Amino acid sequence: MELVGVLLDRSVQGDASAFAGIVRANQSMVYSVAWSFLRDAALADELAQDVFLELYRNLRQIESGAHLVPWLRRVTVNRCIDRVRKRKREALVALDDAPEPSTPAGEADPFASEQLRRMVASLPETQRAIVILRYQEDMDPTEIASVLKMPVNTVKSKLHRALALLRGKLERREEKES
Amino acid sequence: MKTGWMAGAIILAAVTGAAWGQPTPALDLSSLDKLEDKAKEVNVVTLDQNLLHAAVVFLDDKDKNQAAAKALIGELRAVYVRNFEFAHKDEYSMADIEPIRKQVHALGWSKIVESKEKGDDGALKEIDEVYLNTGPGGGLAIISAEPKELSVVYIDGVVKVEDLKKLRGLGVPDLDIEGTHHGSPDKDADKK
Amino acid sequence: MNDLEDLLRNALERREPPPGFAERVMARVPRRPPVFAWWRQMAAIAALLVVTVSSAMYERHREVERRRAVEASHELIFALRLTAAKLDRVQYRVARSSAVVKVERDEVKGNL
Repeated sequence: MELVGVLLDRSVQGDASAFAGIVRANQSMVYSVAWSFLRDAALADELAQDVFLELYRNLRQIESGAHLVPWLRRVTVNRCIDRVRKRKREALVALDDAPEPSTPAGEADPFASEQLRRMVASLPETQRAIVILRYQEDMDPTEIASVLKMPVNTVKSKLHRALALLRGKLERREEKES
Repeated sequence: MKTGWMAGAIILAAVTGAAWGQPTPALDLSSLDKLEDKAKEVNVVTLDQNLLHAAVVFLDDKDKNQAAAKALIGELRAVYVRNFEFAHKDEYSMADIEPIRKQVHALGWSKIVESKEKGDDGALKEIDEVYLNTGPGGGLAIISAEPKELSVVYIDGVVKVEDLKKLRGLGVPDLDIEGTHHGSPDKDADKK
Repeated sequence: MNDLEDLLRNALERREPPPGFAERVMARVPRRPPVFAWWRQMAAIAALLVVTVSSAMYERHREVERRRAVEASHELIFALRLTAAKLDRVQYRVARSSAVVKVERDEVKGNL
């Protein structure tokens, strides 16, 4: 992974292909976080591009390859949260009030994962970010706390709360189906 | 001062080591590793995404073939090669490549080209197969089994066959997929 | 809790952006001439003044990385050449067997 340091050095020196290499090496991570957060491919694409442009403007701040990925995650999550908050028309429905995903009675639900993704996307922004970083990016609470600049215990409690909300939602959906 | 940062970066680099968030390759070539002891020459290439992108930086833009390779590599995730040269025939068997072929078939990749040759005893003695994953993940696999040489190439990522033609300077020929598929009929062929 | 966590891990998979993402980013990146990284010199001098050993270790580490990247580029060229060679071989063998089949068919039809 520290070979990214080579790409960073050359990018700072103006090597466009080196920066393109950084983009390609990290585009999946950045785009996936944005997509899971925003649930809109076009918005996620645009936001992910903006993240890399911000990286380009701030290359000198990236001290090493090990610093790059947390930086990208932090910027991506912060931009996602800002985008959601600015989106005045978005229906940020409290999870408890959100309508149940419709499922034909008596039919096996082949879209369970998709419905779970939707449920995650309806969480409050910070909880959403924590769940995505925890289960998509496989980060532990300490790493998440570092990315989101919040105390570890706050991360843990918000994660616990988010899981409880999701579990309640899943249980209600299963009750409806049965 | 960046003193603490330097020490921290060095320690972190030593501890983390492994790539962050690298996807698991679709094909596992490790079953071939046992042939290393039998071969007189072994070439192993394992270029994951980070290595691949770092390597591309050092390709020569002024060399049109390497520049074409650079463009081809753009959307790839990894390149893996196992190449074994043996001193004598029969130092490996077709059974040794069966785990690879099973994986490819299980993944449903399309066999786009195949060439087989049997010996006098009716057993397969040479085989060349090219597989392409036409699904979203992409992927190209080549299995080339000769009497004294075995090569398996796995390119992870979207590989357009026409892009391979851009590597003409590296020796890639026109690959006419349609109309040249001979050899034993394969019921899985052209699964697209 | 574990079942839900497993479901979340399965549901929240990474996905690739639409093709050409890097190209779209690079199209928006302003082109600038190579920059002399003066800040690295200042950082190295400052580090040398404070912790000489740490600075030397850092430079050696970077050089190791650079050499690994150069080595990887050689491996990449080898891999592509081998790919080309094997594709060439299979094409030749297919063309050869195609020619043999054609000859056999012509013989059957009495065209030879």
